[in-house]
Amino acid sequence: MSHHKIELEEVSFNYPDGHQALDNVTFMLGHGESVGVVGANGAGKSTLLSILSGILFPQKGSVRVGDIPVTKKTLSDVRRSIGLVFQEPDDQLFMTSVYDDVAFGPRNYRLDEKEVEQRVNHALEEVGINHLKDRPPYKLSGGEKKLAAIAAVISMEPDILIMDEPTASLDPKARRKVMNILKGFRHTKIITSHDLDMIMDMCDRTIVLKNGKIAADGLTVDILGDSGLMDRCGLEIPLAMQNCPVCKKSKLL
Amino acid sequence: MTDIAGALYEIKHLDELAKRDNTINNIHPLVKLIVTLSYIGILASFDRYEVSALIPFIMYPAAVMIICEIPVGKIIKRVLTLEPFIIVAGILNPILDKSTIHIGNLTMSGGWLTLFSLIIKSTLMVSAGFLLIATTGIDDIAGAMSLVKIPSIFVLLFLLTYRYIFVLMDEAERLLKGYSLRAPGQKGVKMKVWGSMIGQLLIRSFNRAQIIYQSMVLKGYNGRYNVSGGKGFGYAEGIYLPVWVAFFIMSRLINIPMFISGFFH
Amino acid sequence: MLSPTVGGTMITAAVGTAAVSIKEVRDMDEKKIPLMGVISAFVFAAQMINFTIPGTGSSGHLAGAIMLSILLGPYAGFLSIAAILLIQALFFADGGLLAYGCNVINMGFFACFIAYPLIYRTITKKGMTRTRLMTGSILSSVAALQMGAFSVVIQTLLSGKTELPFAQFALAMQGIHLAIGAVEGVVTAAVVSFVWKVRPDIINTESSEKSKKQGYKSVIVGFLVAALLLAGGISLFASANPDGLEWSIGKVAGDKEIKGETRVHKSLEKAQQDIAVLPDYSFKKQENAGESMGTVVSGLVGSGITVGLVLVAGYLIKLIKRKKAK
Repeated sequence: MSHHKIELEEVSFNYPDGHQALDNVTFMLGHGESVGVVGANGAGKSTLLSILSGILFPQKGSVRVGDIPVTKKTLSDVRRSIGLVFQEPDDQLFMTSVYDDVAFGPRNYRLDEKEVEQRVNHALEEVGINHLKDRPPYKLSGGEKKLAAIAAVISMEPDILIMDEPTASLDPKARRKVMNILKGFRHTKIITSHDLDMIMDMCDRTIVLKNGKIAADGLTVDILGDSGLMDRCGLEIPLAMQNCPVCKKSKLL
Repeated sequence: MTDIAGALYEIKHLDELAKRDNTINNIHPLVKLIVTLSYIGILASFDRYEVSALIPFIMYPAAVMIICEIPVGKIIKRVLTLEPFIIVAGILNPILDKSTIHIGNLTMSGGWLTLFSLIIKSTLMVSAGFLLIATTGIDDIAGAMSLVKIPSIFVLLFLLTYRYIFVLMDEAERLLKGYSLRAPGQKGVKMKVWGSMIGQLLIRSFNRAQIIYQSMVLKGYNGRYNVSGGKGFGYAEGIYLPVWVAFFIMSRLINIPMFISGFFH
Repeated sequence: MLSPTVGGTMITAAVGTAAVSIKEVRDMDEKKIPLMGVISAFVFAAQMINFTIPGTGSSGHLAGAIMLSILLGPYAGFLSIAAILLIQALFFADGGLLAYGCNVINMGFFACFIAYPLIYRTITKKGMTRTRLMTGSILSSVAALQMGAFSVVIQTLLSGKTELPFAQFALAMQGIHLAIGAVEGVVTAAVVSFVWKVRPDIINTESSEKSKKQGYKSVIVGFLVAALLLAGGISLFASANPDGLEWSIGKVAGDKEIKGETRVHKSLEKAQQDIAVLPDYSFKKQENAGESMGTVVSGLVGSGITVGLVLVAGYLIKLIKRKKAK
């Protein structure tokens, strides 16, 4: 199983209106790695995710998932190994019960109902929301919705998980729960977020995007702790690294 | 504004009623659909002058309501909101239908009879429709739809519409809240902002649809979707269906109140 | 307010039209389903917003059929309306299940397959401009609502459940719907032209371009077949049951003796004078309500006992349930 790696080579992407969203982006991700992708609004994070999941195709450069190049022909195979969790769970939970939403993917791959049920139950257990299975998605809390959206992706048994702002608009407890569940997964993970504390907690490696280019790529501690770099890229060092607001002491040694 | 919140609450409440565990909720949706439709059909087939023969038909909604513990107030409220329309349609009957019916020394207008008949019938029909949805969840209805071979395109469309009503009504309500907070004392939305307000909502919906489509495609959607059939047929279905249908047919053929009073002569 | 014959026939007609539409949508672009779902939900939400009508104290709201046709094309638009109305019939008992077919035909068919292609498309064919977009939206909305309203009148009268005389009923309905159609048209025009300005890609998508004449033809043919079925069903029903159609038309005409093709025609003319004083008309009285005081009394007594029985049955069910719970 070496489907777990991702390779981008000199990828560039322009929108029809001429806006260049990605400019010569190259990086490689190994099996089981957990990478944070950060950057200011408009830095190209969403475009990158769309390209990784084959929603958009780059005009220049190539993307490989596992050993397969991402093209229109290989799309169905590639998508089986990639699971994208959208920022807004309402966009991803489009059925009328959590069960049907989690079963949607497996059913589309024409598994028989028994196998579907097995997968759904497994996915729900893994995120700990088995009790919500018959509930309609619109009655869930924000955190529950997020977990259901994650389960809906896990049920397809992807090798790589891509998450767009997994902690956005969650309350602190729900945020922590989502983080703990994600940490438990052994998938290769790509997480984009403005929640830099979460990135620091979850990812060993971080890629910083700025105007469609990679501004930095390296160990999370080094990158997020570099206040100059962060400032240049329209970011801030994580709260956990900032001076204590009460005693003003620096936490960085 | 309260309109939207009220409508949303109403749907959610029905949803909850249907999710409860009781005898009727667990009956196969197709059976309930057939019972409801035959009830409505048979009621509609009654003569316009018929009043007394309609009375036994109260049995069906009454029984379902009691078994499922559905609050009567809910149904009354619903019927009352519709009653004005029925009355408007029938209110002229007593004036227009001057055909008098002589009952002994009493003379009665046929128009009044038709009005009563109309009111009773529509009340019962509305209740039956309400009870169908209150005992059958939307998923079950979709399941029944695919069992009767309604194409999956329509079933999926039906489910998606239902699903996004919640999201979009929420959005519409926020829009209206934003509007009314800055435009106090207005009953509706001013003409000047009609286009941009609804237009904004439309554009947002459009963008959302694109993202949803992407998320469906990522989950392997290719235009076909199999709705699961759901529950099977069992003893309960075997009894429920024939008993009600037989009761409806019997009540249609025999005027039960007249029949009963026959004993006292 | 509908007889099962009319209700049933209209459901058949609606199902037939939907079947053709599903085929068209499937051939064209199945990917549109999520868009259709969200846009239907959007229309549902938009229907809840009240608009202040200038110059009057009242407010109106959107129905959305023409807008759906413009956004999605006629077939997808029709299916979306069918889905919206189904949800309304189920959850809000709007019109009830029996009226579902009538509602789909009245609100969807005329808008999507007559007003939209014949008026909106014709006006905007030569290229989109703001003026054409607005005129097209307004005119087609008004036309669609006029046709829909007239169809309601026909369906109601054919059902023979109301005593309303044709001419008055029709006049009132057309008049009211002229106003409603105007509001609908203006709102549609305002929204469509706003969107056209901001996101022209949404309006006039390829789907509406692609829609072939072929499809319309089959829909229209399907509708005609359904109409024939309706006529056939009604006449059967009418001959078997004198209180149905024949009765109501006879009533409006004020003369049961008028027969044949002239009946409807005459009824239109005569209705005006005839509703004021109806001629002696008492053929119903022996059939149902009976003549003697005794029947009334026994009817009342019987009804009372029946209601009593229902109450007892309900009480018993409750008792059994409570026992079970223990």
